[in-house]
Amino acid sequence: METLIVDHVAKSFAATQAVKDVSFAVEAGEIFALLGPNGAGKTTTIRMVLDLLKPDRGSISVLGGPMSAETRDRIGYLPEDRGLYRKLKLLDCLVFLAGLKGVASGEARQRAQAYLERFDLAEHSQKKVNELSRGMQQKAQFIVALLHDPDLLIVDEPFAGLDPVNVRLIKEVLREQAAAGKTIILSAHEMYLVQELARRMVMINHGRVVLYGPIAEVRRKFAANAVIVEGHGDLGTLPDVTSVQRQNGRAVLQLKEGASPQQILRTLSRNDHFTVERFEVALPSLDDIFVQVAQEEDV
Amino acid sequence: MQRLLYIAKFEYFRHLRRRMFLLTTFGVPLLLVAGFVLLFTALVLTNQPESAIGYVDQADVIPADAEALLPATETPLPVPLRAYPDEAAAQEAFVAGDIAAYVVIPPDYLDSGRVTAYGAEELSMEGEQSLHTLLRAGLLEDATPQVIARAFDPIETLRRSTLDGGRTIVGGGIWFVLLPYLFGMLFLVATFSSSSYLLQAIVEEKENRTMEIVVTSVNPSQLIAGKTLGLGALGLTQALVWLLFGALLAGVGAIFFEPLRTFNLPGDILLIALLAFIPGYLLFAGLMIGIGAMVSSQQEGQQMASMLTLSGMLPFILNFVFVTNPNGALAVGLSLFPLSAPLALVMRLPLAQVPFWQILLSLGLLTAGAVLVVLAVGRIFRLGMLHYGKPIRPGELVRLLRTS
Repeated sequence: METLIVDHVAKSFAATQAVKDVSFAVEAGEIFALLGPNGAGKTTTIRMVLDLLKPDRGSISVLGGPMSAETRDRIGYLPEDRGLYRKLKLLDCLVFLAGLKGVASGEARQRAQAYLERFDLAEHSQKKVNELSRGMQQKAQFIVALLHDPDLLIVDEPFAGLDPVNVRLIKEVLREQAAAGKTIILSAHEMYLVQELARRMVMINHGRVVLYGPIAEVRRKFAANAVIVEGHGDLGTLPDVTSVQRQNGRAVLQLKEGASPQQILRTLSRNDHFTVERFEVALPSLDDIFVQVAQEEDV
Repeated sequence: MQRLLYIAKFEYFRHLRRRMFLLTTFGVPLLLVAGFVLLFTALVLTNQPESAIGYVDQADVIPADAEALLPATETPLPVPLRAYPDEAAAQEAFVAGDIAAYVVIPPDYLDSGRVTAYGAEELSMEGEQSLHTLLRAGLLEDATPQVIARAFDPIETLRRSTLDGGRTIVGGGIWFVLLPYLFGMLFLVATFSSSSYLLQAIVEEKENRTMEIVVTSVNPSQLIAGKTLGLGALGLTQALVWLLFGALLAGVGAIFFEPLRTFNLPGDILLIALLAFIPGYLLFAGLMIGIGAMVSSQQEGQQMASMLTLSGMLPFILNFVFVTNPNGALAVGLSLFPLSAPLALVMRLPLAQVPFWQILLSLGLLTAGAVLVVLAVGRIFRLGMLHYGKPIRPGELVRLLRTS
């Protein structure tokens, strides 16, 4: 069952075609990564999903149909730029924004206080928003997205400006939400965090989808024919290996065309002068793939 | 509807608590009241009516029964006047404390009109009034009661009529001039303050990106309607507070100043004013939202808004046109042009017999203008609300109106 289906959408502003052709689907209960370099069309796509912009072409189905007032109440959104009433007290601001999603004031106050406690902001609840640090505002904005207990959570750069302790906290909350059956669309530039959290992804560049699918599959697809080996002793001569790079106590073996990691493993297991401690197929990080794809596209 | 009212309530109370709002709403009238009180206190302190004033009538103009000559409509002398045969007797009474001052009416009074007061730096208003009344009564000794009555009140009723003989205003002349201005002031306060708060709120939400959060919860029409309602109520609150202060001042003032007692508000003008104010506010509110959606900073918004405000205030600036020729081409034109219509129409109504068709056309054009603006704004708001960084150019605006 898909929570979100984006089907061949396109959007132009004056002379700029921000989104040319984007399609992807997000499954219920998963953490889905929406990636792309700056200006790729991610925010425009998110705004079309949220019905803030109408697509010129294509269609979008959210939580089982087109956007409606009921659907709006089931979506939580953390925008890339912070959007809080700066002159309001933090608690009042949270309660008002939750009220806009239909949460009764008493209930909203209770939930907000619980979240403020958890995000270590309770003592600032009576401060005006503009008196809070950037990181605090970021956490407050994250609370706004969660307060009405949405079924679909769209978070655009949730880790921006946060220290490692708070990054861990956000990660924890996102995992909890997914475990509770909520669908999460995560757009971020910290690829190591995306790789850690998300199961599937779409990468947009120049308004088009350039990568789409499970992250593990994408990484395998981009894997060079190489293995990483750690162990003691002499590797000796390996017939199917073209080069050996040593770095930090491990060796990266580049394989000949047609050679498989299994063949190398068999050869190594027969070598009495070398004890294998770790053997893995060398997969590129999401970060490497991102840079590679973005650069290839720009050429 | 529930969300619309939720937004209206939020906007109302958010702005109501702002220091600037409280300062203008209560500060301005309080300042006026303070000025009024100060003036009044100074007047009371410096004007103490005498217990009695003596007079020495060397010109022989005041007969012994002068007071009996006063017409029935005239109030008795506020300060008693006592006659003395000569200055020495008056001086003696003054020293004895029987009188607070005395005046000498010299033999050449009829030619010179000169009277000298002794014993006080100046006579109180009441003392002087008593002297005037008694002298006038004495001078009219030989006249018939009718002449005496007319001499004391030469114009008992003044009917004022417009040049074309239409509307007739009876009583308080000051209102003839002031009424249109009071209407205008009320319109200006209610409309311009509300719509400028509206502009401020829209631009502020764009600047701090709250707009993006808000419109993921409610649709743009609910947002616009909620804000317009909430801030309209705020402007009305401000106008009501001012009106209340005004009524209070007028009420207190009426005790002391005769013209304030003659004030009466014509019901038909009030009705037409109300019919003009509602679309008038919607027109300005819509335009301000439109500006708010197009610009990217408060400053830019204020610059554009000031041009609109100026058009709305044009009848105020050209007020001489309304006083001298309320049915002239310019006055009629201004009352038909939607931006200046609300003010121009209410300014013309007390001054001239405005043809019914003109009232209808003015209200019709104003309402049509308001509806058109509200519809157009609904269209451009969706894209404009997320338009950060640079303002929307006019060409782009036309394209938006065509395509969105």
